[in-house]
Amino acid sequence: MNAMKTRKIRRVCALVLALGMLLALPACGGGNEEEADIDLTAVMEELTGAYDMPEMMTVSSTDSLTSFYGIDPADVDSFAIQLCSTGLDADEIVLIRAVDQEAAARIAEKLETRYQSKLNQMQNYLPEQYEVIAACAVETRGTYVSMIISPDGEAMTALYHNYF
Amino acid sequence: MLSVMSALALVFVIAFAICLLVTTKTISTLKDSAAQLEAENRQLTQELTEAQSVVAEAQELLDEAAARAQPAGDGFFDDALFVGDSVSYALELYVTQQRESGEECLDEAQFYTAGSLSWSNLLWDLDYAYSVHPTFQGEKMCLEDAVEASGAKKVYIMLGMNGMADHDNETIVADAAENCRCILEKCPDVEIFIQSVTPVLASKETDTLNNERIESLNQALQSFCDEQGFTYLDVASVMMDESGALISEYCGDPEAMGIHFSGEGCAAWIEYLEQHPYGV
Repeated sequence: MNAMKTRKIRRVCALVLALGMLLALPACGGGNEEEADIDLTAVMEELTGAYDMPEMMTVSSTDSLTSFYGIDPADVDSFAIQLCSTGLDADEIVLIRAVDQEAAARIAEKLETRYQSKLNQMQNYLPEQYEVIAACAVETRGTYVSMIISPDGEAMTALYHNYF
Repeated sequence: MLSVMSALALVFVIAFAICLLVTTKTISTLKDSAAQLEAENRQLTQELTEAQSVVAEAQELLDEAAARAQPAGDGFFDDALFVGDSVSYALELYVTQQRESGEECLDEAQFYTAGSLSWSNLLWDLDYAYSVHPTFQGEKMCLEDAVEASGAKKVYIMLGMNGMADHDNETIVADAAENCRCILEKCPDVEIFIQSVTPVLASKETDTLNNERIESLNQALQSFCDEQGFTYLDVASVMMDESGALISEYCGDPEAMGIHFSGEGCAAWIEYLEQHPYGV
């Protein structure tokens, strides 16, 4: 009787393990089937509406994606970009959804170059803007790549994370 | 009778000989004169040809000067690359805004700008930790590489404000010369346009950044352009008030450095470029 009970428990455990492995399999695929579908324009509206911003301009053309960031429009699924229109403040919010993760990596590399360039320019020129930039970073989440530079960068990033 | 006839014959022969001699000499003299006239004629023809060539060349220069005095036509800035510091970055942002809203602005001109850029730090090594080289289409590169990558045939440069505190005019002009040499070595067919450094708001002048100093540098840059055959564009002339300071309406940062342009200032700059593409 004990032996039968033991065999039954083993069968149940094996079944539970097998089911667990089946459920875990899609997570290994690396696909973005589970990824949130985020309206980046809406995110941008919320971010810029929630915090004091300097005079900002919207970048909406793919030509500007290339000229400002060197990003290939073919790598981009959707984007929302605003930056300070006078160049006197470092504020710049770049939200991009790439077409896939390889494209996201390429976009992140371009944004890192932009980020470093801003950092170097401001270091000895406008030190207070340098501090703002240094506190922010380029981030990748799945196919979403962001660069949120603002004195309220930390809070904005937290707000952005809520969409995931 | 016979002796009279002989004498007459003799006289006739002598007379004939004399006439022949005179004629021959006359013909020879005429031939010499003709040759001399021909030589003089050839010389005059040559001088006339040379004079016509000079006149044609002068006419060509006049026509070129007249063409250069005309406003820029459509597409003039298609092959232009604007190089500069934060003042030019503000222009880049203004132009981008205009284009984003569907307005044509400086045709298809491209930009290579960065805050704190100077003639001096443009010559730094690209890998230097504090390099402020701008990026061109997302890639950090040196000036001459950006000119090549852009395919530009006209390079408009406005630099000098960053560096005035640390360098005298002679050093700044020497750095400008080296940068231009690098551009032309890589892209020998480009035209170089040096734009004057623009004025600062009167209330924001300092010991090292003031309009008298700026004017002095601009004169040095203009002389450099005259020597090198580059075009000098006196943008500053339309940005200053009667005292030589930046027109207050054109200033976008009156509470800060007082050197960057407002949208109105950028529009005035662009109008100058369009109306005086060769600075005349």
